[in-house]
Amino acid sequence: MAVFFIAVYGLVTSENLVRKIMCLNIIEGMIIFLFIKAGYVEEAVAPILKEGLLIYVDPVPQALMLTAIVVGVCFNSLALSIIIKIYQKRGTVNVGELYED
Amino acid sequence: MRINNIILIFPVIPVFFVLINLFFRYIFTKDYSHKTVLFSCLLQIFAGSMIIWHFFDFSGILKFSITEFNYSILFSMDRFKIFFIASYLITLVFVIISYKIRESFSTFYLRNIFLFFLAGCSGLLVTGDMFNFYVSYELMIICAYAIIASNGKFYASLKYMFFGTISSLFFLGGVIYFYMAHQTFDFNSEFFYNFPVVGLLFALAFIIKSGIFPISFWVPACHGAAKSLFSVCLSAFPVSVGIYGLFYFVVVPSNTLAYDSILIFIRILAVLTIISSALFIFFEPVLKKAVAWSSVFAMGTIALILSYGQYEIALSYMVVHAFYKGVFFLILDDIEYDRQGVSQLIKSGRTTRIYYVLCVFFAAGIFPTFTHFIKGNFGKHFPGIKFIWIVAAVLITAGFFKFRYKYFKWKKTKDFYVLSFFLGVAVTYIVLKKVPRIRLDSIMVLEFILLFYSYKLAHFLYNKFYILKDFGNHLFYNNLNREFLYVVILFVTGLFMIR
Repeated sequence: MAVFFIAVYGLVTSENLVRKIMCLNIIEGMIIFLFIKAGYVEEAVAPILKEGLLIYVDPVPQALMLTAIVVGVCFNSLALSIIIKIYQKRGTVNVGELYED
Repeated sequence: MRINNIILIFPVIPVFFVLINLFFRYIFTKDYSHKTVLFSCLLQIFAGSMIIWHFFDFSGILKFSITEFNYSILFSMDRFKIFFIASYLITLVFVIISYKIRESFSTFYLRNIFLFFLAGCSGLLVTGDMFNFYVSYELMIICAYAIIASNGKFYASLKYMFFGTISSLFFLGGVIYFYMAHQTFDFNSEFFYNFPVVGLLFALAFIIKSGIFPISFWVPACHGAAKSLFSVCLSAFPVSVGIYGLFYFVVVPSNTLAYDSILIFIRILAVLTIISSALFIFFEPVLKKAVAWSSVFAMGTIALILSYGQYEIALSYMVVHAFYKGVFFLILDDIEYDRQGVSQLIKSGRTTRIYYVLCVFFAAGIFPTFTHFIKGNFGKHFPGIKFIWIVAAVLITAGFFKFRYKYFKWKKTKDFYVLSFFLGVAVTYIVLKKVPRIRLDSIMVLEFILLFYSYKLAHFLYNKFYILKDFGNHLFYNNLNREFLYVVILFVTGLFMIR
């Protein structure tokens, strides 16, 4: 939770766009961690169905979080490439110096 | 063909055409992508119309999954979803009739990204589980980022990305709480949850998605940055997805379980949205952004009506909004702008002017447009809200006519042709009494006065407060940190309200 709040603080106060994206990634990572923890079962195994398997962790949170990770990767790649374009066009990635076209 | 199959293939149609595009491109080195976009839209209009036809008088919920497997993808459909499908189909009609596919999506890849965007939109409409909802939403929104960025508007695209991601994080937070409590992802018009904090997380997610105040500053940035045809798509559907989520995830469960604090939270924000967006329309110096602000105004109005449980009125408003906003954004291309300084109108055709006036009437809810009747029906029970709408109508009308007053080369006398047309329609309505429960009340009289004096009012107010024209730009736009701070403040306020 402490890391989560530090990331939120960074998101609100940081001037650099790259740092903002890093903060968003940390927040996303914390949410993913929280959800995987919610699906965790003590002494359970991976949910690969086979004979004699009695206790296994809930596969649904894991599947959703895998999707969230993939979406996060898409976001990162697109956002960073756009930041490169912004830097090429404006010569800065500082929020205070950027404005809309 | 069974209706289940039509629902199933509805979101697959654009993806199928993407595969066809790739096949022709890499096997025969031919590019048919602009034609396949058209075919995809036509097929989806056909399939969507069949769904609307089937569910028009349907009561209850149709739910089915693809396979018997426990965790299979779930589809659901009920009569409320047909309003959202109608909004989506209106967008597709505009895509077809605008003849601007090549112009708006200039490359092969952009046209395919647009098809993926359509697949995401239609996937959202038919899904019945949150997992699928999340995937479809992300597909739609990532394509939207790419299309906006392709127009060279990188900062606007990045802003959209930040707020889209933050809203998705709130949504994921809500899904976690919901799943921990109920062990399911299903949602429909009868679902509920036992924790108000789930409602708050969902509410924040969809408040950001629908551009409700104070997280509404990304809307003019993004809608103003896209090309006109994609602005039509953005204002008609992705913003309405916020309303879709507010309806299914927040308002319906909150009304069912009487979570009044969440509903009051939405009402307060919706009223603030109505007032602020009307003010921003009035002071906005760029026409396209003013049109985008009117989308924010419409979303605030819809959220307000929804929060009072008047679902069908609110959703009808949303469908009408998709229609007039499509016309509004498309006519912006037919207007010549003064590129020196701020973008202003300098010249346009006669038909464009009439459409412009019509769209302003729709946006402000001036009699005799349909939006007026919707607001009139709702407002008669809530005099305070009616008063706010009247003030907002004055600001919006004056805000849009300020562009015409100074820059349109249009003789003032010709306006009376337009006015006489509206008066004729008004008299027809009143005499024939075709519209039930509508009478000539104070709001209507005020609107007529406003209509006749809107030019002078706009001129007077705009000159009087000209010094404030960059009020929105300097105080709220272009300050990403402050906008993020609004999200934190909103979250803390929401927590305080539901405690």
